[in-house]
Amino acid sequence: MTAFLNAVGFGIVTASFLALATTGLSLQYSVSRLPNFAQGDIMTVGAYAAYVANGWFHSLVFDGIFAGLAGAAMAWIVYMALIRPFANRLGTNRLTAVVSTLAGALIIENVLLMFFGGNAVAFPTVSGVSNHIGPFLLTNEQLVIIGVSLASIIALHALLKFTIVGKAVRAVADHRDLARVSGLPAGLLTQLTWAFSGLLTGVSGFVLGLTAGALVPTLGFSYLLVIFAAAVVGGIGSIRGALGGALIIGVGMEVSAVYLSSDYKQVFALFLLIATILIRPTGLLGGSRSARKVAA
Amino acid sequence: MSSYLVSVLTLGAVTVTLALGLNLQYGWAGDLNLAYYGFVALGAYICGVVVLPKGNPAQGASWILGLHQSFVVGAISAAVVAAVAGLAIGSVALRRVTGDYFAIVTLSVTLIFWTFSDQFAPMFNGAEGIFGVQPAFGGVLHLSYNSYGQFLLGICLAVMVIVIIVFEVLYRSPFARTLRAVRDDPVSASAFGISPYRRKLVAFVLGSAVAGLGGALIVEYVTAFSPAGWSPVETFLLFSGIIVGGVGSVWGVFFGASVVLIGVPQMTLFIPAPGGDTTFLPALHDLIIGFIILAFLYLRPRGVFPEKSPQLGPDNTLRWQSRLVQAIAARARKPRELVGDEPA
Amino acid sequence: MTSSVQNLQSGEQYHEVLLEASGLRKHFGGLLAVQSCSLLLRRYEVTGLIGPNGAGKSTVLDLLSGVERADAGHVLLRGQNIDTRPTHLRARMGMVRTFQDPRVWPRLTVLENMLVVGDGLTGSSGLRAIFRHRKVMAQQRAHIRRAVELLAAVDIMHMVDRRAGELSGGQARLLAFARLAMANPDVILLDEPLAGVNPVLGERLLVLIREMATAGAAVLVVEHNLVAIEQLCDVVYVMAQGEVIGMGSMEELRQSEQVVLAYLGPTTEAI
Repeated sequence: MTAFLNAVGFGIVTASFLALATTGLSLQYSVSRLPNFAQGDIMTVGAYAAYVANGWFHSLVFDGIFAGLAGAAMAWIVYMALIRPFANRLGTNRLTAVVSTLAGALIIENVLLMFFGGNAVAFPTVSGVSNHIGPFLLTNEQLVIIGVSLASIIALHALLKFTIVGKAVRAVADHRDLARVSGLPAGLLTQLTWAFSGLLTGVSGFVLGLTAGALVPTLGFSYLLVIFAAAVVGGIGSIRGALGGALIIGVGMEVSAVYLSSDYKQVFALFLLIATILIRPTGLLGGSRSARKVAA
Repeated sequence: MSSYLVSVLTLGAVTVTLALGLNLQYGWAGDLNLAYYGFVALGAYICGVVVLPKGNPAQGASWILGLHQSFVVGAISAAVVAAVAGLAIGSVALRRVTGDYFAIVTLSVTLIFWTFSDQFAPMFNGAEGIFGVQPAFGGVLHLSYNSYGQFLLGICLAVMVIVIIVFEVLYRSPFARTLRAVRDDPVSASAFGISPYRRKLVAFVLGSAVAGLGGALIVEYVTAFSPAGWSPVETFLLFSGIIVGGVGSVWGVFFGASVVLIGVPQMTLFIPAPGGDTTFLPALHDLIIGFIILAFLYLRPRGVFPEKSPQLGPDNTLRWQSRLVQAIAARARKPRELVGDEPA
Repeated sequence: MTSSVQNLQSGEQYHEVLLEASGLRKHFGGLLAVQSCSLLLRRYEVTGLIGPNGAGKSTVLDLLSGVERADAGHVLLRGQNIDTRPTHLRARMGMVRTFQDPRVWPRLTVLENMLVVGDGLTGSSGLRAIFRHRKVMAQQRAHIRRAVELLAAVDIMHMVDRRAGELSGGQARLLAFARLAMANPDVILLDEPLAGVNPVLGERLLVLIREMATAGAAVLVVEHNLVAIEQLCDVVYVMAQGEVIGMGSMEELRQSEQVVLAYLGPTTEAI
């Protein structure tokens, strides 16, 4: 039983950073209606930014902030260079945008590879003491991870729900043309949304670094499909769904590792991704209508 | 011929062949199949385990089958198994989704296969991979090392030429025409009695067969195959050849695959790596390819040689001249180009 | 134009019913798009389907053509129930629909656009056709001959080798019509063929539609342009809020208070 509980505990930790990246992806999808295959690499950029910042400031707080800012900048660049030029096309021309984000992923990864080399670099850690939280045994670091993620998501939620900017962003996501006709600067808001999504994704990279302990340039990309899985399962485009999806995938992956081999952890997420897309593209948790339109 | 040139040309011929198979799925049918290299790998593995003798687990060699058959049997098996896998995956995926979601599903499938090939040792010997593939036709011909290299090059070139000819013929047939219509607008195609699912499935299976065949050639050339030798990125690199050369055009793909996938790596070989870092050059190579893809997507998304269009010929036939020749001929006939209505 | 449905006694020719829809019903989530729709399409006749926005006309087209499946009701094509048939099979049985946009195949040439329709009809789109090369080539010659005739009839022969994506909006519509004629269907469903079309081209299209009916097809036209409907249609159905509220000639419909109200609200004016 403890193995199961431990797995759930790990799962919650995984779900935490996953939730950030997945929320980022859902935000992007809600305004641009395209899956961003460079999302994993934006995470990696955040992680490396935190690593670099740690060399300057030696403070985890600054590391996290730096990661977020780097992620925001990277996501903005991805939007301007890879999504916006191709966003208005239909049919097979939409695939051009998909291919461009793949190219972007390739480019980002290899730039990091050229800069930092292929060898793993040690990521700063939080000195770990195990704490008993309910039935779970969690280290300080894991608590930090969960805490940071939760705080970020709550902050985003509050932003979207209560501020004017947040409402404008939701308007653009819901119905772009209507928003534009109502006088909202859709283009600017989209850029802002992408920057926000990058903020979250960068922080998730920082958190991923904490979890993994060591960084390689391919780290984020290896989580790309897991992020997609969480987003699709929760209902792509839905922020709330992103949380639920991250929880299902994160916990599911860790629990499945207990009963199957841990080498096949990712396979669990992939199977769920494929099954959800083929059977219920709007997500297991309902999700927004938008996915149905695009799946056709 | 220097053995270095032989190896470059061999890889080039196989790469062109693979790119043509992918072009069928992406250029003609319009499906972004990110699992393509997974089918190549499947073909390589299958040919390998058909051609190799039974693996000896005690020597760190455990794989399925081990039929110790000839290369021809191995190559045919590779193509058939890949086609069947394509049928299985395509019949489910293509019926439900297209476009971005199809890309995600295919990428997931190939990653699952990669994980199993890496982790599940009894299948293809896990991370070690299969090895020890003997030269093709080795029992019949006893060639020296250099001669064998040229012989294999000959085989690969022959396969490439056959695939080029078959695809050129196909392109001029109703098969390709209908497929391209489905690509451009599947909804109006179905309004005219065409089943988009069926057309795409045939293209998917055929392309997968070519992928499997290419995989067989690879495993014969490298004499081994392991998870380290492939990843989903490989599919993407093949796309670069198609995007640059010409989406949908057989000769365009030939050009693109040659230039981007052979030319670029050859050129980067001459750049000195800073501080002896072994990952620098491959990273630079992939980086350049990434930028080349982006440049073409911005500026010339159809590629250098866009797909050919036929013209109405005399006596109700179709004529297939290249647009370049057409344009020259048109200029020669009329001093000023006639312009029709303004495009919408 | 008199209502042809009720005048068998007066010696009007009986026109065979090619398409019959009865009791069609469709809801999307909470919205009931079509409550109950029944209509008949007869050979040689052009039938209009009009109604205010949101009346359910497009949904009816989707139900007839198989893009959507009805929750209740039936569709009979030449007496055969096609409720479960997908769009492409209905097309092979002789029912073709158009869309509000011409939806030509932009990267194929104008001629190729026509040939694809021909290939679909003769079943030469498969791989097996490679082995029947001579027959396929002969068919292709016949298709090309017919395509050239039709393209000339709509006056876009000068664009025959150009990619359809290069056509102007009007030319694309003409190509869509030529494609339709190429398919030679028994039942034709037209989705707002005159939307955004200039009057000259519109007149042309009306003539073409009438010609298709005269040649033996049953045509259904969904349109907002009531002048065109009056000129073109033998019978007109009016829909509002998901059901058919009137059927007959335009004159008869104008007399119906219910119809006028549905269209224009309490302040009435002649339609």
